[in-house]
Amino acid sequence: MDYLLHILVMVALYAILAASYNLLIGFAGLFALSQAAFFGVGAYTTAILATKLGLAFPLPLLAGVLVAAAVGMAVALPALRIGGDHLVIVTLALQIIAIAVMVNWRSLTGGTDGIAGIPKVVLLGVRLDTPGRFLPLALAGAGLSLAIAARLASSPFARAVRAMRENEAAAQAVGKNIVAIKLAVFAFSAGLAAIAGGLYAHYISFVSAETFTLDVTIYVLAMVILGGTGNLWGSVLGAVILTALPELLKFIALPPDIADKSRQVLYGLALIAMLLLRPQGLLPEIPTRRRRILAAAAVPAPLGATAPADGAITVEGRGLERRFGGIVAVSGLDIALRRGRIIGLIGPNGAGKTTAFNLMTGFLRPDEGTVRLHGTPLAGLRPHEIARLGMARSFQDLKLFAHMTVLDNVMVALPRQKGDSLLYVYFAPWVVAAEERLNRDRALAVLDFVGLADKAGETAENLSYAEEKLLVIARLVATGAEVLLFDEPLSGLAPNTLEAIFPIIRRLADSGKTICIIEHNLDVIRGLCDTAIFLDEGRKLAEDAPDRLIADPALAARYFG
Amino acid sequence: MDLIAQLLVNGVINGSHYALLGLGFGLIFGPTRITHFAYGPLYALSAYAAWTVAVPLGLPLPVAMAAGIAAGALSGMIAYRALYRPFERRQSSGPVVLIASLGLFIVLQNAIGIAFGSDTKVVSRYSADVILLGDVVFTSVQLYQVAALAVIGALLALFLKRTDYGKALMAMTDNPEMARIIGIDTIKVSLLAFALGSAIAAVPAVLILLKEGATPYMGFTAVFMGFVAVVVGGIGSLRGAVIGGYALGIVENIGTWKIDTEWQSTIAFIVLFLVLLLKPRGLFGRGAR
Amino acid sequence: MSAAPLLAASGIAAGYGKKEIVRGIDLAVAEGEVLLVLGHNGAGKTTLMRALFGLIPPKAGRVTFAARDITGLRPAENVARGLAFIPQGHGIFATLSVRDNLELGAFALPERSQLSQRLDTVFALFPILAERQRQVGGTLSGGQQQMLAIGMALMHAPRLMILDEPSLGLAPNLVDKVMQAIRTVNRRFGTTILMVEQNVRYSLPIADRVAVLKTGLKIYDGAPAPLHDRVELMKLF
Repeated sequence: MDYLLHILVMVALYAILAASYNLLIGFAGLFALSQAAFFGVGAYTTAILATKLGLAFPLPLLAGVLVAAAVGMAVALPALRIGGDHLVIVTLALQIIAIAVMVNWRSLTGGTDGIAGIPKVVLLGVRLDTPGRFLPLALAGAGLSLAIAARLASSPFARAVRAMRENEAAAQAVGKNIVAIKLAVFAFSAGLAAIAGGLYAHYISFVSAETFTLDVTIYVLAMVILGGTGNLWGSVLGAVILTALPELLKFIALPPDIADKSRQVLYGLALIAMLLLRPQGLLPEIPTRRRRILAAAAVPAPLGATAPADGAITVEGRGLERRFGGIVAVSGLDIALRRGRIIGLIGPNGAGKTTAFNLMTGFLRPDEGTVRLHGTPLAGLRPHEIARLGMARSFQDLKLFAHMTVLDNVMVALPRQKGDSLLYVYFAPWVVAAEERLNRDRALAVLDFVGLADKAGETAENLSYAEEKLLVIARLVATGAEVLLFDEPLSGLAPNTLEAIFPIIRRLADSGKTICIIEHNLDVIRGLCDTAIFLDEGRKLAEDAPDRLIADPALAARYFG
Repeated sequence: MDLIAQLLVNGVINGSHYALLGLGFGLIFGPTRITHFAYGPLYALSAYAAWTVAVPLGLPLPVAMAAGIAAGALSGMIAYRALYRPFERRQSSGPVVLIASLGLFIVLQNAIGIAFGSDTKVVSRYSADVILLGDVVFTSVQLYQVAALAVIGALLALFLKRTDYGKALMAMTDNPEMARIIGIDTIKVSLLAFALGSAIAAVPAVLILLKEGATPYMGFTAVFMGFVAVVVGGIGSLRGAVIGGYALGIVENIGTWKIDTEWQSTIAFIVLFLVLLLKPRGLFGRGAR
Repeated sequence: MSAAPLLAASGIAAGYGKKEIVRGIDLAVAEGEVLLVLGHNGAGKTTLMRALFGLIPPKAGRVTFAARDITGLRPAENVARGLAFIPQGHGIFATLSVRDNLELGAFALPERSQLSQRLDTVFALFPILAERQRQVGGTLSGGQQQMLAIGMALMHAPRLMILDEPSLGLAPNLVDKVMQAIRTVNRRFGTTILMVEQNVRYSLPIADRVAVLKTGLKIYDGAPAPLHDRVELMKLF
């Protein structure tokens, strides 16, 4: 009986570990191999503070959480600088360094002997020194950890995390600070793993380095994969299956050494089989409930405060210059965008149009020249900061958040969400909930605006070509930015679809937005734009009313030969 | 001064070992883009194959070395065919293949433990000669480690530059899609990459067997150091992998001058971080796609 | 001239994952002609070419080459039959020398003895490549890299060359040079050309026929002359 209870305690601890790892790998797509190290940091910190300083539960455990979170962020930071490709090797190195510290820093960690004699937890006068007595605490710990993880997973913050996983550039373009998001996710993942570590230390009363090696990381990884990335219940399920099932091996009489290895062989095979047969895991990532869309309460005004459509200059680029190796992409470019006006940017392929957008929105730094928004220079600002200041862009290759619903694609773009801040998510959930309801209506209104309201529950990757283009427009409008830069928003759309979209963009301009469109389709330029700028070889060759520009034989010759 | 010289020599010896590991790993990773974690246990398997031939079977050491190399090459090819190929056919993403490789790592490492036991296997009849050169000391095995790198490195360079299959490997490393487009059978070349990379890894494995003995877990450090050497040197550059390996070996050993030996690996990884911070692509990384 | 087309595709549907980008296209290329494929970004031009050459499997439809069914064959097999493909952008081995690149282009050449003869032909067409034989491919200029890519394709004397936006990223005068080189390859060696382009200016003059794609379907297939009217052309985008 005691043994069964022991298994249950271990299941609880592994459930915490699997959930913590899922946040990192499943939700955020951050492929780290250091989970066992975070587990170990939590365990050792608890062990050290409980034995050396005699601190009572839960202080050592809480300290372990903080230390692990700090370590998590410290590891994330250089890895972010270096680039996502190297996250694997950097976190693997952390894992090894952690073991080296545990084994070699004898005065602190007891070296290879580990730390023994960690005091048992005493709650309400009861000493939790048997599996049966520890189980309630373990379950409570698991319950709390899963609640924390679940709260995060269902928050607007998690929506931003998933958007980052789907497409980092697009997430930045809708105002998400992906560096901050990555740091936060690492901190949470490490902190939760440390809860398991602290509980483990008090349960076994002994910690040593062997418990926290790469093998354990892979074991927890198997649980996450089995249960389903992006689904926390899946992680619990994975923990249950991979902790309980190998116990069936006990029925075969094997020497303990072999039994242990056989168990590992089994879960390694289970992992491979899962990846081959059902890589998404047993439980799917929870889709947004497909609610029936009630007639959108009339919110006809587009997002953001309206402003006079008076043609005042909002964005100014002067003397912009950008080279790639020997190729000059943009040279001596002056561009001014105006409130209430739709300006078209045309030119042959490679003329520098998208580069100009990249320079204006912080995706590329100009070699020379300045960009000003309402007079404020934007030099050195990152894309998400510029988006938040009020200038946002869409992408020629769409960059939709493919595995998220249409509604989520738009909701994640809405500005100034308190739900993006974990402080609000945990300490003022009612504020976040109220805002979510409001934002849902706002998002539906935007979808209604572009004619996609009936597809709100659909996954973005299942949309038709035309629907995808509409979603791109909706997502950009949702940012509420006053300056909207559309990169080939309408290419390939049928004439009647175009006729339907023109008034939408016109209305945006009339409400005071500044709009610039890159397009090849001259019907669009003629039908929609107040002015057109002709770019070729990175230079502005002309700026005029579309009819005059298109009629100019010299320019037509440059465009088509 | 003698100490420095000794440390440098040790650094070159260890560096040769890591360089060989890096060469093998890089030879697989370059053309196939597979992070082959199972490289570690397969390296161990080569050592065990050599041990089995040398001790229970009692055959001469050169035969044991040949057996180790053959076992390495064969198991590498089987790993590609049986594990990675199904994922390639499903066009699985990089992370999925990596996790599968971790699964194989766990399976193989423990399978070796079950089959051979956890004790260290040694070839007791072999004892290395100790060589004194001035004030510097090293053993014959260590000399073989350095020589192995020199010989294998030279042969590999010739193979890659002069033969059709060698050029195909370089082409795949540079631009996998273009390699397909010009008609290279990428599956055959991937098999070759695995065979060659695993065979190269078998040589340091057998030398370690002679030097220290074999354990089921010896593969972990091997794959990790091979991986780090490749990343430090720059993905796609075999020359970089060799230099990365030497950088690790030398820094590790020079580090022991002032810092306790236990922190060797930690130092090496700090080198890794620093190099990557300064040159995110590695020392010789080109934009190999 | 009612000879059977060299390459004939019917009912081709293709895409990535569940997405269908090309939704049912028929295309025929006559031997010796230059067929230009135009269309807006995302129309399916590249997807179609890749499906024809075997880089992605068609979801539906048939492809024949010289009257033999090549539907779904892998690139290596198509190269052996006389097709060549020059992809968009990175069409060379940037870390290898010009000469190595060219020799790799002949990887599938059955008669290795012809290698030096083919090299001479390519060097005669592109003297700049002969000058820079030992130079590493990635250090060549954009235009030279494109010439190298074309040279690589020529190394195995293909009957049909498929090019995906050869003008991408090149300055206009280089685009002109590249187009002239393509025209020379067609006229001098009789190589059939199937070319996708966004840059109408320089590609239209060398085309014998034009096909225009829009949202995965073909909406024009005929002579280039009517498209010289820019208004007409714009309607098709």
